[in-house]
Amino acid sequence: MGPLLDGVGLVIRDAGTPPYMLGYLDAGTGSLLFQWAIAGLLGFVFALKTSWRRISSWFSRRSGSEDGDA
Amino acid sequence: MKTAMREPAWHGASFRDPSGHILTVDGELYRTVSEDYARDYDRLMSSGLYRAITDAGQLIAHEEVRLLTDIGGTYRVLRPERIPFVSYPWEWSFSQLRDAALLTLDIAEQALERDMVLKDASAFNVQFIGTRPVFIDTLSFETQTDGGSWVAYRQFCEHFLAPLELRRRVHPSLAGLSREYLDGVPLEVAHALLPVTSRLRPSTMMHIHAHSAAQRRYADAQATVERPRFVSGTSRRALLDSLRSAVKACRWEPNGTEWSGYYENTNYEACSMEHKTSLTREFLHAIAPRTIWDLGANTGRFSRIAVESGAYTVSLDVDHGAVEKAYRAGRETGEERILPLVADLMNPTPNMGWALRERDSLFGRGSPDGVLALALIHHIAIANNVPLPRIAALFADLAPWLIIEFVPKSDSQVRRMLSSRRDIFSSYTREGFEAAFKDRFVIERSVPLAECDRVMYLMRTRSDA
Repeated sequence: MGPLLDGVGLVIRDAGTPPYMLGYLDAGTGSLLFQWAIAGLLGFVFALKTSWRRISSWFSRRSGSEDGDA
Repeated sequence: MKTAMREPAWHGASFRDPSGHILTVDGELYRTVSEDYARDYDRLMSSGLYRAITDAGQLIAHEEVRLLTDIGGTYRVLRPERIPFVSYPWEWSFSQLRDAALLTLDIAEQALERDMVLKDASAFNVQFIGTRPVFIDTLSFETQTDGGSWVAYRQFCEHFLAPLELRRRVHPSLAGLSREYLDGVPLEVAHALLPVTSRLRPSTMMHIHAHSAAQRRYADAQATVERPRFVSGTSRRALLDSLRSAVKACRWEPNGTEWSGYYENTNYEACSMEHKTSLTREFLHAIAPRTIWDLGANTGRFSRIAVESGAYTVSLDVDHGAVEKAYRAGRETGEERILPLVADLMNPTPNMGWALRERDSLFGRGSPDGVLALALIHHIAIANNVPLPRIAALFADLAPWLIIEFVPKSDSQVRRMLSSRRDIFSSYTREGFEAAFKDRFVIERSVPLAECDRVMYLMRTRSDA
């Protein structure tokens, strides 16, 4: 967990500094840090998935139109 | 629209979110919108988000009203559509919780498309109209202003993902953990209880185990966190997409639970089911109920008959598998008049939470016109040693009408129950049953079932009891 969390350039500040307003819920420090740490990885996987869906739908459209032509 | 009002009664669970509050006036439910939340409320209404998700049946609709009594700091007063019966996550079967999770994510994704964010992901924000899940917290939407972190990420994992994984990988009865932990099952508890093999699934490893480790690591850090300057929109959508995949991967089959195969596995059906069905229908027709509670409903066969009589039916059973089957059957047909729930009559949901007013007891959440108690009495009286007069007292407190089936000791089900224990139930006879119930009820009809020793009763509570 250490390298993963430390590697995203987050800043831990001393207690007493006004925190950011994040709504009425306590999101939890560890949870927020973790979310930011995995954001890049999830974003990358999501971009791959989205691209793959676009490519496969392009191919299925193309093959559909070829079937229609036949 | 102006609405006269008496003194408002604030709802016991409505205090965490300062965006507004729930109150009741003359039995009507209202939601106030605070001045501080005005900008977000206006954006919800003007962005098309409210319209889109209410039209899709995903968010409860409301109308804006004006109350004659001024409530300080209030921007708007809303009168939301009423939910026929309020239920809680530990009373939901596996697929009910799963569908509630997917609905929450779906709404969060639609909010993102309109630059809004779902600011909380509490399972209590979802209710069921029959078997249709619906989001009820109109004030859960905020304009997206920060770097894109989802502040409700932990809450979603604790209210939905962790309980789903625990139910399917350990035991469905761990639904009860949600009752113990009203604010969500802590991830460290889920981490400790889940089998090591659960770590092999990347989404579980990430959102529960690693997430829990991150929480532990920073639990004692006396620090506040400054957010990064930029988290892309793609990453925000990616988190929701990842959670959706994790929830969709959670599957559970109800085969093999105690009662889910009850009707299939007993010879009871061949004996008298047709007669019992026609009698139940006849009795229900005589009551003409608006609401029925079907206690010990199993997979909901008789709840469906209750619905035919026009009643909204809460279909309660202790067995997770049976309720799961009832829910799935209802979802397939779009059933919005039967609400299947898991409930143990020996230990029903009590008043809970802050000041014992946050979550209402099972019996405090409604007043049915009638109770169905078919093939149930022996499970309470013999399997759980509850004296017949006490059973009569409970049923009489619940509803003015009772349709009940007496299952005598000669019945194969009762014989099986008594085969491994001493028969201490000398008053458990038809005569003893009638004597106990006559203290609280007038017996309107009693009809022995064909080819069985069982007897069906239609009873009305005594006005002088």
